Amino acid sequence: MNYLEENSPEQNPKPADEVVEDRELKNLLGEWSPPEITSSLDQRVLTSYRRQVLHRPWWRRWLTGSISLPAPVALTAALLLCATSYLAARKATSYPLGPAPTPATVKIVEVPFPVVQEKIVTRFVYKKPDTPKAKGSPAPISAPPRIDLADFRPVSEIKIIVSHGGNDEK
Amino acid sequence: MRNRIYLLLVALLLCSIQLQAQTLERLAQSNGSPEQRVNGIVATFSSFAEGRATAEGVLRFNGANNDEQAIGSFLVNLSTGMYIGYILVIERLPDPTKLKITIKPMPEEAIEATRKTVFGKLLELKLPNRPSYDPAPPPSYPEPIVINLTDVIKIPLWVKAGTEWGVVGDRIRFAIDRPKPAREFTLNDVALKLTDYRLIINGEVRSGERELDGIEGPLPSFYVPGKGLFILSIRPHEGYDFQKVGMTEGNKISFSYGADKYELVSHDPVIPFGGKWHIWVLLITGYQPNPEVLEAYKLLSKGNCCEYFILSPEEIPYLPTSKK
Repeated sequence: MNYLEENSPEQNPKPADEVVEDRELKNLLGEWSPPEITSSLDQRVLTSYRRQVLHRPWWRRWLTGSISLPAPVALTAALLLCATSYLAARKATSYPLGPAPTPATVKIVEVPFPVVQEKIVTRFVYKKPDTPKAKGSPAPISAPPRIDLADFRPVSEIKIIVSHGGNDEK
Repeated sequence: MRNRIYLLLVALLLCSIQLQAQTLERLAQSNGSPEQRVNGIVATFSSFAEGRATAEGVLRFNGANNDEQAIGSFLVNLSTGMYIGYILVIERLPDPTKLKITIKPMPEEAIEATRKTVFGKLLELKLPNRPSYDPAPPPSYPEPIVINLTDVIKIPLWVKAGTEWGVVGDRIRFAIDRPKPAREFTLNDVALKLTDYRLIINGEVRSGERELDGIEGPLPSFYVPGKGLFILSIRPHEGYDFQKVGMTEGNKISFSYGADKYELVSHDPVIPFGGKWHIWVLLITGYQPNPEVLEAYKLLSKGNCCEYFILSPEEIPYLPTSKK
């Protein structure tokens, strides 16, 4: 902070009586010694600055902020913007006018849906009861449902199913 | 000889219906005797169920006839009252590891006889208003087959078609019958046999309008309402208050108890080798009959008063009797 240089007589020429006063002021200033700058001054200044600048809303900083750009870059960018705008405007006006496009025709195709038909079971398939099961994954134990045999009928044909050594086999 | 198998089956049914307030459901739980012996072979029967089925609702009876190397099997569907039966013939072959198995239809006499048993009447009581309780014999039977002794055969008998498919039937295992060791003959081996019999109390027929089919065993018994259960024996039993109050001779057993005179008159001799023998009688007044069985006996012979069955000496401790 060089306050004396900012008010130097070379930059602002004064009348004679003012020059005398300046000399006295100069002498007075020469006798004055500035107070010691405390160490907390910088911290207070920084805090004050941050409070005023950094804590402004982002939109306000965005609206009032500025960036510096070199003149050649700014000029090139401006030229590019003009050129692309001109080309875009020219292409838009070159489309021929024609009838509105017709909507795509919908073709209905019949897909046969599979219909499940109930079948009467006429053959028995028996699984092997003694097939070893995978170890380490015990089957969940659940009580078998009690089923009424009201709908059961005698077989129409008696058959013998032979299990060799306990393995089912017809 | 052919008719012996159904007589045996009928006797088995009668014995099975007997004591301990047995109902059809309880009989289904016991599932009959699993082991049958013919021709030196032990055939062990069990029920199998596959798909959405359970064998719990099926009551199975088996009876063997060694003369014909055959075993009769009845399976009753307790939900419908229908039953199905077949004859399993087991023949030994020169190769001792092989068996010849034949399935035959149940003789018509057996079906007829079954209908006239307490068992058949219990079915009528349980499932009334059925057009017929006769089994529907399958029209087709397989050709005889030769199997290994270690093989297991399954015979599907009840089936439900459709999406909830299920099947219930007989599973049969075979083994060589171990020869039984000889033992001392005892009076327990003497069976008292009543065939086509009547009960007469104080000179009046109380067994109804028709003769009852038959019971055979060491302790023929009958329950008279208002009196109690009379157990008859050819000998006293230690620990129990059997009274020597009767005798048997020829085709009749007679005894007096209190002021009443009881007679059981059979079509055939009560003891096959004849003779005149004392009869010991135990009265159990605390016996509670099964009302269903009593009702079934009334259906069996109109006007019948009582319930009849065969006991074994091992069953006496389970009766509500006071020891001497």
